[in-house]
Amino acid sequence: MTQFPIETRDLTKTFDSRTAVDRLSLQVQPGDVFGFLGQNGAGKSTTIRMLLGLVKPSSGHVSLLGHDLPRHREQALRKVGAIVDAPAFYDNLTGLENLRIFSSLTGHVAPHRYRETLRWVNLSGRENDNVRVYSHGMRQRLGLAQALLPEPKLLVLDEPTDGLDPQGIREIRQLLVDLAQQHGLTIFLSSHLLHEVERICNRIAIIDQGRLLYQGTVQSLLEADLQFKIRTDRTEQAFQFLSEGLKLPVFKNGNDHLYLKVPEADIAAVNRSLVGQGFQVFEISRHASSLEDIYLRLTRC
Amino acid sequence: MLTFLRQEIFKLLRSKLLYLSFLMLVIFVLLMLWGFYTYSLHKTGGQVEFKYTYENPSYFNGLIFTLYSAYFAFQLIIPISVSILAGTQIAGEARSGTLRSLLTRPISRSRLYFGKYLTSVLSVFSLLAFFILFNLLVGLLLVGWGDLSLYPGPLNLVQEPGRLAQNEALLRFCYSVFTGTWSLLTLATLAFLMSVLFENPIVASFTALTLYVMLNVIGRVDFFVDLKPYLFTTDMEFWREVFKPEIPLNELLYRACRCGMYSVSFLLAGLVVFERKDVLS
Repeated sequence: MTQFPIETRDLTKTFDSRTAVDRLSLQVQPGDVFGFLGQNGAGKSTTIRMLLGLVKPSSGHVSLLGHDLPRHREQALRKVGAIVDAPAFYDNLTGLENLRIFSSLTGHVAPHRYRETLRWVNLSGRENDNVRVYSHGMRQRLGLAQALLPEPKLLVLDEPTDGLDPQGIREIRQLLVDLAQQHGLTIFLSSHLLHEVERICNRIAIIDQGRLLYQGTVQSLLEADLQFKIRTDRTEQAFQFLSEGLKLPVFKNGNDHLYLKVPEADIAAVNRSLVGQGFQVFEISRHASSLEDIYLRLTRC
Repeated sequence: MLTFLRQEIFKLLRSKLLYLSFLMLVIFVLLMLWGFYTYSLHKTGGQVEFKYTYENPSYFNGLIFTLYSAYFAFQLIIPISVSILAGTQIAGEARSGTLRSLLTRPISRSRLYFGKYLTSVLSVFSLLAFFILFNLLVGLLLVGWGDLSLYPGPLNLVQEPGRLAQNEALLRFCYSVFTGTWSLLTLATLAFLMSVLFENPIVASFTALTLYVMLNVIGRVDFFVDLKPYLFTTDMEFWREVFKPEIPLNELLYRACRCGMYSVSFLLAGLVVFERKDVLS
């Protein structure tokens, strides 16, 4: 049986009468870079907090690296690195002192590991500065460093690129991809930057008002929404033929184009049928929605 | 646990709050010294002499100065420091967001809770030890030492005049560091409980202090004489018993146990709340 790095079953959290997370069942597979998407107030942070034992679920089950929470919370968190909301530090201490404090709670960390991690997050040379003088982006990087120090198998990151400049976002994106590909880390991240999620995540979950709307690969979500744009010499007649004759899901957008939602494997047959009916087919092209388009449609923004 | 405790002590030593508390006590002692000097001048019609030597046979010597200073400091200034130090322990971390960072590490909530409580205990002890030692030092250097004469009066310690020889009195001051710490732990634990209940350190410290002051005042008003034995603030006064010529051991132990009981109750209540608390900060 597969041991999922993260597994939740019917996870629910109710605050007074408001249900923040409603029967959420997630399965994050080993090696996934898993994007967790939802609007503000959709329940992302509450879910992340339940995954890390900060918030007690009202009902349901959470398992982290095969350990049940909250019963085996300590064992579960031993190989987990996390950032929840904006990374918080002791401002009167240096970056290195902060890292030492947090890493001491996990166990021994070899001295070279500090240097290595600081280099990864591009903070070498600034580790002896007080965190008070760090910029938002530097704090974000330090947060990532503290999450990476215990050599985790699973990273849980809440908006890891929040506040970073484009260069910083790019570096962190590359770092996350490297960690997943070269070190085999499983990464669970929430983000508002949908194009970033589309670029680095292989699987995603979308939640709205605490309920799961979609869970699966980014590719299958994009493919499920794949449409073909068709331009023929007689748009209206072609529309009638496809919708009434072939009973295919087709719709018009303006006077010149038809949009057909069929699997890619069927498009050649559709083309043959149109040509067979005497239509001149000028264009058939893939029309893929972006993750952002699909996300906005699903969450009804 | 030891690693966590070491880190907590490191954080405490690097925090301004601790040094601010020490500074507040130093200022208080200097103010007390001025007050003590002018008071003794007034009481003796200008005859009193502060000796910059070891010996000062007068009633107004360094030991009585330390006793008065400790007595008055216990009324409010030390409780303020204790409430702030203990009240910021968890609420301060919650406020700054570091509590959630700590709790995403593999440390049990109870270990974190008791680690932070032990840090509070250590800070209360060090605060009090510093205060008594600093008073004695100021007393020795600026007032001069002698025997500790006790009279019925504002200290409300003895019914008839008594005297503690200088060495015995010094030993009693050592005892008072421990009885004082034990007594103040009741307030520190209350502030610690508030620190779990509130996520704002100012609210936590202020609530604990308000309760302390309120119960203290109630305990002094005759209307509430029936209520007085049940107030923890009444038992907290036991720390001074060590200055009586004959230490009433049974009474001291009884009231120390009651203080301990209050502390344990507050501590366990805080633990139950902390274990169940959703960390949303």
